[in-house]
Amino acid sequence: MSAYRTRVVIVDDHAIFRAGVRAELAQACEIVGEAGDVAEALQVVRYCEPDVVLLDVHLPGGGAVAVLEGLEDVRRRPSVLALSVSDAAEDVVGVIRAGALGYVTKTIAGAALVEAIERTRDGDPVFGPRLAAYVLRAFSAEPPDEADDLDRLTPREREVLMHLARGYSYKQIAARLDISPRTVESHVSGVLRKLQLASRHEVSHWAARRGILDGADPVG
Amino acid sequence: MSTADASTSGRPAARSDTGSLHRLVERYGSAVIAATLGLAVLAALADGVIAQAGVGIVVAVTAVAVAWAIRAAWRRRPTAGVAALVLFVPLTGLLVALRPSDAPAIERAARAVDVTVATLVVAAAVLVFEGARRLALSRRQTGDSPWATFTSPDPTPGDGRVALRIGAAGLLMVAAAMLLVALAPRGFAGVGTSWAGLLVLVALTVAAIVVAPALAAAAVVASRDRAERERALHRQAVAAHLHDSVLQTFALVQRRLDDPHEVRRLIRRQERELRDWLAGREQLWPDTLAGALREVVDEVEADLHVPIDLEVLGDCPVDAPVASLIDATREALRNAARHGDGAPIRVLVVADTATTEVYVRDEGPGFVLDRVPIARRGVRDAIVGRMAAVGGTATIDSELGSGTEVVLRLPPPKESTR
Repeated sequence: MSAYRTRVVIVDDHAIFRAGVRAELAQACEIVGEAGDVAEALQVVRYCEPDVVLLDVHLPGGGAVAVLEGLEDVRRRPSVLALSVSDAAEDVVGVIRAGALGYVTKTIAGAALVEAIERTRDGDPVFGPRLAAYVLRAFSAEPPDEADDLDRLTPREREVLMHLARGYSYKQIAARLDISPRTVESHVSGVLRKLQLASRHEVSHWAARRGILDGADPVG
Repeated sequence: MSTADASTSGRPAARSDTGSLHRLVERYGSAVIAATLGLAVLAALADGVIAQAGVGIVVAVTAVAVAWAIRAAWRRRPTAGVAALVLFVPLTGLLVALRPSDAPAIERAARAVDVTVATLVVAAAVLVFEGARRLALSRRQTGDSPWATFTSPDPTPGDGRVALRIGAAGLLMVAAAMLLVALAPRGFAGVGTSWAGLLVLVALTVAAIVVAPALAAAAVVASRDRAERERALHRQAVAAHLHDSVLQTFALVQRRLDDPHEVRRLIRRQERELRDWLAGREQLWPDTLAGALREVVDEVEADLHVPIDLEVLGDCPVDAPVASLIDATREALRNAARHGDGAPIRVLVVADTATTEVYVRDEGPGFVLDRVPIARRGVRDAIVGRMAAVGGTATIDSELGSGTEVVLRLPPPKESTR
């Protein structure tokens, strides 16, 4: 562990879950605040100025997307790692689009969570295998000739995502594709940007076309 | 105490420009109405009445009516003022008709009726205006249209009174219309229309006022009932599902607490099942690649106590090559579970028009291919052989210390059966 302990705010409406995460992270991180809903989260983040916000996707008062939107005008904007029991595609796409750097499910092991938090603090995307699979599913449904650039993954991005979905780490992917880990990260960031840059209209259109939203409101 | 005051304070300060017009009407409207009515009545009475006998009574009655109306307006209760006029002015008309005069009786009677009809029409107009105003006020907070008073299945407080007022106005209008009908033969106010036409008009008005809202209300109630029925059915379906799945698993888990492997298996299977159900994939039959692999994963997890994560991109029906792919995947999973030292296994399935692939990866100790014991090579051959038999490929990628991955690939289907 580094000497500097990452300052973390935990946002989750289940106090028991917050307590569990707090205990798990106590060694590696400094938990500077907790919040149970959107308003509280924004207040706590403004006050505590954490490095990383661990954000539950389903929150009273508007959900993670509302928190991410509220954080846009925070002076020292923290990085956000979304954490949820849900792995529904619209949740994943929604929080990533709204600006979360990564998405992990609540079943993640303690050590892996600490690693994900540190990656998030450094501004690197955290793409678990499941998230990678969702993004692939979302992008792959598009017939290539109809898609514009924003809708399309480059072959390399696709390759990197496929490896992530298969369960390889960044380092392993770098070795397998004979590129540097930094390049792997930049490909993942590229995918992240594509998700975030598409306009609201494009994304809801995009999601509907792929059957992701299935009648639900476009998240984000 | 008046509803007008209450709604003024309850209204958002910054409304559109109709808001300011509204405030103006609210503040001065009643007074203007009362004054106009009073003047109209006085003008009617002045028509040849002043000089006659009995004029004292007529003027006194009219004065009382107008005074009452003005006082009511002053206290912002124009409805009471209108009520006063409605009560007194026909009386005045009657007095006009009965007063001693040189004019023929028929003419006097006609004039009295004229006054009465005019008053009724004005009073009805005022009542309708007032009722609509209050409706708009009371509905402004809820954001509904004024019609919601009649059609809303959940009336807001005060709706009853407002509706009553509108109803009274409607009745007044009908009465006025009927008087008009009675006068039609002599061409009152230039209305030379036939009896039948006027009756149809009246009937249509009544229908519009009474029947249309009733129909709308019935439709609203019906759709609400239908929505409630659907909700109830949905709740039943959810309850039934949770009962058969989650509660069942809870019961099993409680009985098997002494066997952590079994508990974990039960929980993981339930989690997968619940996730599929939440994602709307509850109809996963083993006659598709995804459904069949789900069963394979359950089976291997149960037998060998290793957590397996399955991710599916696309799906396809099971034909002969896909069946071989499924069998090969089962072998690969068993292999990984047996030799992976309990490390989690990840399965990724990609099935689209271009390709059908299964990736089975474990984070176990890995091995060097050249040094694989004969027995294991046999399993490997079984996997490779199976895939080769249907024109597919199987590659095994392993390294000491960084796990093993088996990649199974089918050639793209020839026809568009997938």
